[in-house]
Amino acid sequence: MIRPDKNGYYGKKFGGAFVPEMLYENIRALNEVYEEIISSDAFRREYEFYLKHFAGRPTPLYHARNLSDRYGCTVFLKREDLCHTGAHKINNALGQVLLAKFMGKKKIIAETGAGQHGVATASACAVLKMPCEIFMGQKDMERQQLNVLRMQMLGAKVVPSCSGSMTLKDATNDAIRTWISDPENTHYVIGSVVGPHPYPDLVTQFQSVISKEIKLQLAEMGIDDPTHIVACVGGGSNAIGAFYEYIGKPSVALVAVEAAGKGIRSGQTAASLSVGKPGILHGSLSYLLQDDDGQVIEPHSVSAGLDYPGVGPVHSFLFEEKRCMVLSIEDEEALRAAFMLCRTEGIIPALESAHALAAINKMDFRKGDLVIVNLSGRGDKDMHAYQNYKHLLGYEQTESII
Amino acid sequence: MNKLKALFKDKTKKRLSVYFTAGYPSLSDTVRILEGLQESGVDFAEIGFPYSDPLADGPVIQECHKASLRNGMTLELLFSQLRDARHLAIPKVLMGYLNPVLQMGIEKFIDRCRECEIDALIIPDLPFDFYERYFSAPMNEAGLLSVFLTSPSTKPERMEIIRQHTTGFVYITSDHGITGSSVNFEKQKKYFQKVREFFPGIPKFVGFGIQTGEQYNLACRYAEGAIVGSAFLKHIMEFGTHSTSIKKFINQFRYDPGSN
Ligand SMILES: Cc1ncc(COP(=O)(O)O)c(C=O)c1O
Repeated sequence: MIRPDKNGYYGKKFGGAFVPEMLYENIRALNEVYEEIISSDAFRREYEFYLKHFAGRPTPLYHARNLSDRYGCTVFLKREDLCHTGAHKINNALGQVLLAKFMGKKKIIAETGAGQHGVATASACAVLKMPCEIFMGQKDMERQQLNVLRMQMLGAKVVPSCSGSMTLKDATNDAIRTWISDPENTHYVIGSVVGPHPYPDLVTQFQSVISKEIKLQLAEMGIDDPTHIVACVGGGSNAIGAFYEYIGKPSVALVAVEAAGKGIRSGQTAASLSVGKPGILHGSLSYLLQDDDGQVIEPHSVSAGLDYPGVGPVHSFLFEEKRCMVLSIEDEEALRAAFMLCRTEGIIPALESAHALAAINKMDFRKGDLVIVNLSGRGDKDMHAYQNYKHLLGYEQTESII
Repeated sequence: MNKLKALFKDKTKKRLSVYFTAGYPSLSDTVRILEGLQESGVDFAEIGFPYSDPLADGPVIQECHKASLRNGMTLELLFSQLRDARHLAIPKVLMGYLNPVLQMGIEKFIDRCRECEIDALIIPDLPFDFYERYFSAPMNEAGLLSVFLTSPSTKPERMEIIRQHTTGFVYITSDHGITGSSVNFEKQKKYFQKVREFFPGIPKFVGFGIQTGEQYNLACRYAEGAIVGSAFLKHIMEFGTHSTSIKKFINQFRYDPGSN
């Protein structure tokens, strides 16, 4: 477990709330009530109901026998891909929309990159009867038309962000700007463990369900602790969720996998921890891809969900404390891992999750090791990318069944 | 003596300040705009340095930040321009987001401000704990005044903290919004009055949303003056940065106590 101090700092250095005065009261009001609400019985009852019956939790902890054979150790997949809407994002979306209801808010806004968090938030808003506006970079809307349609079918209004570089970080800026103009009625549902305090902690609490389940599921199998937990890191919400219960146990290696894009030295990367420097974006201090003048650099990853220039402050802390190991995976390595999983285990993973899978190729395991890979999402949304790359990877001449 | 402090000594006049983003429309406009503002009788200038992610700004200033960065503006370059503008008597306030300052290094940044005879600093996303820990002492030493923002949602406890830390002036943001939205005085009357009463001895300026002479006059009822930003930038987008263009714009904002 890990919590920030009262000002939102992890290890006195990362996190905090670097927000203009116009946003201060929004943050303060949220900070004042969130802990009490989310630990109340009334909230927990509702939240657990929706997690179980709507999102489909607990998700299986699947003993992947074929992968285990391949790597010569025991590999488990935590199947977040089987969550409703296709990824772990629903854990946070349901929690925050419910929290907004408990706070008496009348409207939800959120940002989205690839659309996964947007779809999760739109679903949560539909079932919990909250009006919903999703900010999405103009460029991302063009790249992810199906998710735009999904959000619209679910009743959300999708607002194009035309500021800055018209991608995720700009959608986040615009969502925050909109929140500033209506702080009383609106709750902003941020999509990862980023943003000003208390968001990193709030989202961590909701995603920690992943490792709480892992612990119970291992206990049921009579297994003590894993030796490794591997997860991809965009903002870092699925990773911290999978790590959470094991942070205080040094015997469990925590492996955070960043998107190297075209290579961490290529200038086209999203590996904030590997090549970034501490800086401020979206209200918190954390590792950030930036130039020498402190201007944020547009990231690159084939996976839209990892295509973010920053990373949650909790990961910067774990990284500097050497409590987690950070690996980075290039676009092509992730694509290969995705195709490999399809053939090996019959699961089409999200491109984000494929980064975590690719990382185990780079690690050495001993026979008794027990490795858990957090399979954060399913690959439906990435079929277009997979289609574009199959030639490159030699998967073209698949024998036809007919 | 600090030029802004000297200006505030004379309490009989209402003041006008103009914000612009350095590096816009072109990289070399900084000194020219400062000259134009001085010639037009603007009381002090707010010089914005650009950031890729200006969270508290609306479309007009966002666009200026973007263009300025595209033009190649950096803090180092801005300071070299401001070094050449020291002869201009107009008080100068630097305004921008915290990250470029952190990357330059706080000490070096404040040193440069001193060299360039900057009078005050506005960093909207600088929290008070951070200010106290890293900025307050070196700023005092360098003779740099601090400016903090209030918004309609600022609570009295928070105003108290603002009062304790302000050595320059209080920046009254006019609405629940970002820069460039138009101020609604009827709606914000109570808030302006509250702020006026809360900071009796400290100069106060209304900023965000002042677009017309009429709004400027109204703002002056509650404060020592007002700051015009987006409207000025829109004007130079259309009419350029030569001194007649700037004068024409500034002439709309002459305080007229009779008009209220
Ligand atoms: C399937 C999946 N995994 C991972 C991520 C990355 O986010 P985070 O690092 O917050 O888990 C995303 C983001 O959209 C996602 O959709």
